Amino acid sequence: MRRHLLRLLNAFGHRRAEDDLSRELASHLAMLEEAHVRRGLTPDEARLAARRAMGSVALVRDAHRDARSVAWLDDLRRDGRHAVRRLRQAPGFAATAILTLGLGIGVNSTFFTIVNAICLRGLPIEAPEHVLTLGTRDAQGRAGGLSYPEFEALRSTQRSFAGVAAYANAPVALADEGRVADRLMGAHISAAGFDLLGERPILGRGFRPEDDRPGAPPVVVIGGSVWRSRYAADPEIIGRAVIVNRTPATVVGVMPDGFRFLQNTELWQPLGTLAGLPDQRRDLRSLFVFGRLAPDASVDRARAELEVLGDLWAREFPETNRAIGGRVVPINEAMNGRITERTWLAFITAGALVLLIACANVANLLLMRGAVRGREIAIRASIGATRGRLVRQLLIESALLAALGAVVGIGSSLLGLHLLSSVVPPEALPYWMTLTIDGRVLAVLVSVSVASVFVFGLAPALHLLRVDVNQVLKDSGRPGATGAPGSRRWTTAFLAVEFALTLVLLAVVVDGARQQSVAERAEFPLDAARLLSMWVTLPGQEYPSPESRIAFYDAVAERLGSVAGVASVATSSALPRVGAPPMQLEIGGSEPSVDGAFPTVAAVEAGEDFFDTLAMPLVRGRTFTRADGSPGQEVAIVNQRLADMFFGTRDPIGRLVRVGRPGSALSGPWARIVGVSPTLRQRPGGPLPDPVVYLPHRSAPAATAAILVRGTGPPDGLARAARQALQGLDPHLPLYRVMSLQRAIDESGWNGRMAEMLARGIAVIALLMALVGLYAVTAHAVHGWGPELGLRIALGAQPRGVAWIVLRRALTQLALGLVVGLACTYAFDRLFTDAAAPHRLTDARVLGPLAVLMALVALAACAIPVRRAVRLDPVVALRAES
Amino acid sequence: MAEHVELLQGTLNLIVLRALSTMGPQHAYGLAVRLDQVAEHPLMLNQGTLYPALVRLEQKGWIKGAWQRTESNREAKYYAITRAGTRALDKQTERWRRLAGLVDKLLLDEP
Repeated sequence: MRRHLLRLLNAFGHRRAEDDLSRELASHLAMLEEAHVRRGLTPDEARLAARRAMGSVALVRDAHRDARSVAWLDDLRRDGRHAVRRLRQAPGFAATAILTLGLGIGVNSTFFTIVNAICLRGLPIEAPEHVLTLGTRDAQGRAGGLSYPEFEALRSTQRSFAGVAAYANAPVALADEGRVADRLMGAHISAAGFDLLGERPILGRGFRPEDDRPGAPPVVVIGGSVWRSRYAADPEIIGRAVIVNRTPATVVGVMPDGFRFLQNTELWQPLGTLAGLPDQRRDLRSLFVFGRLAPDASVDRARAELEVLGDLWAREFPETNRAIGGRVVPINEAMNGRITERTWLAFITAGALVLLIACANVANLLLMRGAVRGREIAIRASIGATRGRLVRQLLIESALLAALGAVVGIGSSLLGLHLLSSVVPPEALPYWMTLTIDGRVLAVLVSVSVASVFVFGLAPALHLLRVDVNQVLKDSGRPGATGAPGSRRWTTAFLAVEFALTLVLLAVVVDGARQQSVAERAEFPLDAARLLSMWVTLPGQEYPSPESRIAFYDAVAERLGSVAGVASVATSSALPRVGAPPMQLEIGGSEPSVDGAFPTVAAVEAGEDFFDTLAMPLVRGRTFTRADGSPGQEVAIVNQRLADMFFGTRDPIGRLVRVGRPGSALSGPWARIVGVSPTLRQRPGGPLPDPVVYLPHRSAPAATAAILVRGTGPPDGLARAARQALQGLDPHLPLYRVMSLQRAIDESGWNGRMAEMLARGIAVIALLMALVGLYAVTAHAVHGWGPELGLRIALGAQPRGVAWIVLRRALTQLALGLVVGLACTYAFDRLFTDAAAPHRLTDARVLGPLAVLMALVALAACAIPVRRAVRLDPVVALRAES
Repeated sequence: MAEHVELLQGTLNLIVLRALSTMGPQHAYGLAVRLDQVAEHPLMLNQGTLYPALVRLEQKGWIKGAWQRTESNREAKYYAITRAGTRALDKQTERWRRLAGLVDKLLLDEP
């Protein structure tokens, strides 16, 4: 044991030991010499005899080192230093290889970070594998929660759990004296909830059982971020009186910043205070129930117990529980994405593919360099380096490249994740799904880097060793020229695949951009950046009737209208380009389609100033008035797209339409079309704008409405004034999602924007990889052709001719790649573009410029090798041949 | 033509320990000379092969090296056996004797 430790230590402190040994050997040899001189030999003979008696000093050193330290560590260190020196001698190669690897590893890490965040990481609670969600499944297999009576029964009789708790989401309005009301994500949770999750408040306390009874004094626990942003981290927050949903309540605790269980919740109330709880019906299954397993219980036992309970309830309460089964799922499994789903598998595959391409590129680069180094390797082999040793040395060089590539990879991955995160709106993802690099991602990164060493390093190393030492020493530098024809075919095929992939990716990206611009041109050019949007939700108790709501909206419009800098205000049920509920549209005199359904359109309830606020003058007819919407005055406005789709060239004005929910019969009054607006889409994606019908807001004023404000200046300046104007009307009513309309549109379409960003990034990376790949292969070829080209130059070939020889090969490979790429693009188009799209992926206007771009890139890749070929000194090249 | 006798690692350790135990502290050259003296048949050991053995013995803590001056005022590294080394020597000698005795007995028992 002691010896092992000493050996390990000696691996690092070898210089002293070497010096010591040198001293000892010198003294030993001197004594041997003396002895031989005494025996009568001359000093020279004595010295020779002494050395003979000692044996090979080099072997003694080796044996000494092997005995005193861990041999392979020593070798590793030496090989490592050697590798660093070699890389510094070839900075161009090193930079290219490291960057290529870095991009490959970086893309891989970024993709895996996304998959990790969404499928693997899970909630940041204690021992999440012991926390299970409990729910129900009905006869149709639909999943649901538990009802309150069921939850209570479960809580009192269950034995598999250390405890169970229920949770229900409910947005809340938080108000204080003198502060503007805020709307927060709120939730009701059982008193035992926080403890079950293993989370402790940073201030105050959680809920106690006495808080959880209906009629108990109202208390709330707030989240750390609310405490900091709204209350400036006030240390006296505990015991403070606040107004929650118009009811006074006391703050009793503050949870840590990172805890936002479950749906980005920022304020918790006890379950018992949920309105109407004790009277809840047995079949209103809206509670999310979770529990922590008892120390001696298992998931199977819990499942079995819930099944038994389900059967019991089915017998006791047949009307509500007859076909209802239990459902027990570990919490992470219930809340995370499934990694086996196609999207995530596609992500992982794509990441692996990019890395493989990067490795193949670096392998090609190494092969090229190997051709240059053939001589050095041969010399080493001839003085006794074993094959194993040589392979190890080459692998260590590869490992060094991979390590540096990993560093670049982490850096580029961080950058990429930062860019992607900036596209994701703050509340879009659950609080535990952050795009950050954690231990698991790092572990994958390291193992992927290690694996890549073997993928790209082993083949060139083995290839190099198959070289015939004698042949190489004679030839001095050309181990088999460009390689066997077989390997050349592989390289050409590989390059073709790279180019083909690049072409497809670029085509997809360019087509996407083109679609976007076409779609934008077909629509009204809305100046969304100058409009302020906000939402308000009127609680049912204070605004029970449509009239009360209309009165409120009118008052808001008036107040806001009088704020300095406001030009126009309007209310509507939905924001443009953000989406709207799909409705069936029945046109007077038309028949439903075969399955009884009418066509689908988007329906928006808009106030009278809606089109004015959007600065969107109508194409025909008139806009809404205050009289519209009341009984007898049902009217509608349609957008140009709807008019084109359903009325063609005929005038829609005067026709009758009515809308209804999909899946139910259409009833209700008919509305007369009084105007046609420019086309403005509601649904964010899709190649073409959707048909929209606008109805007067007054006819059905919803409790939740959007307010649009057009001002003379930038919208952010108006936000504060808007909140204050509203506070004057109703101090407990919060405005939320107050932002410019452009930002609201961007946030709602974040999925698409992120996908677009990813696609563009991948396309650019693919192009870079193809560039590197072509460069490596061409440079390799040029080197192999050295003597041949030298001969041609000596015989009088012009630089242009020489360049053409090199370029011809590269362009052939490019052409092959483009042909394959074209075929792939065609296939991709067939598979993935829907037939209704106005233009196809294989449009010449897209592919033509792309082919030219790739040709230019190919030329750039060949620039250096061509220059080298043209500058070849024929004397040197020919001498190498003989 | 003398042969090189390949000595097992373990026996070389034993021989060195024994030599240091009887002779007292010695340097590598001295040990080599002693080995040649005592063996009736010159072992014709490469003197360099002592060095790995010395390293191993030192790492095990059975000998300890120190730089000193010889009679001719030349500097040399002297190795001395330690107490642990003496104990190990006794144990190994005992084991070797037992093994040799066993082999002897087996060979003698042939009729």
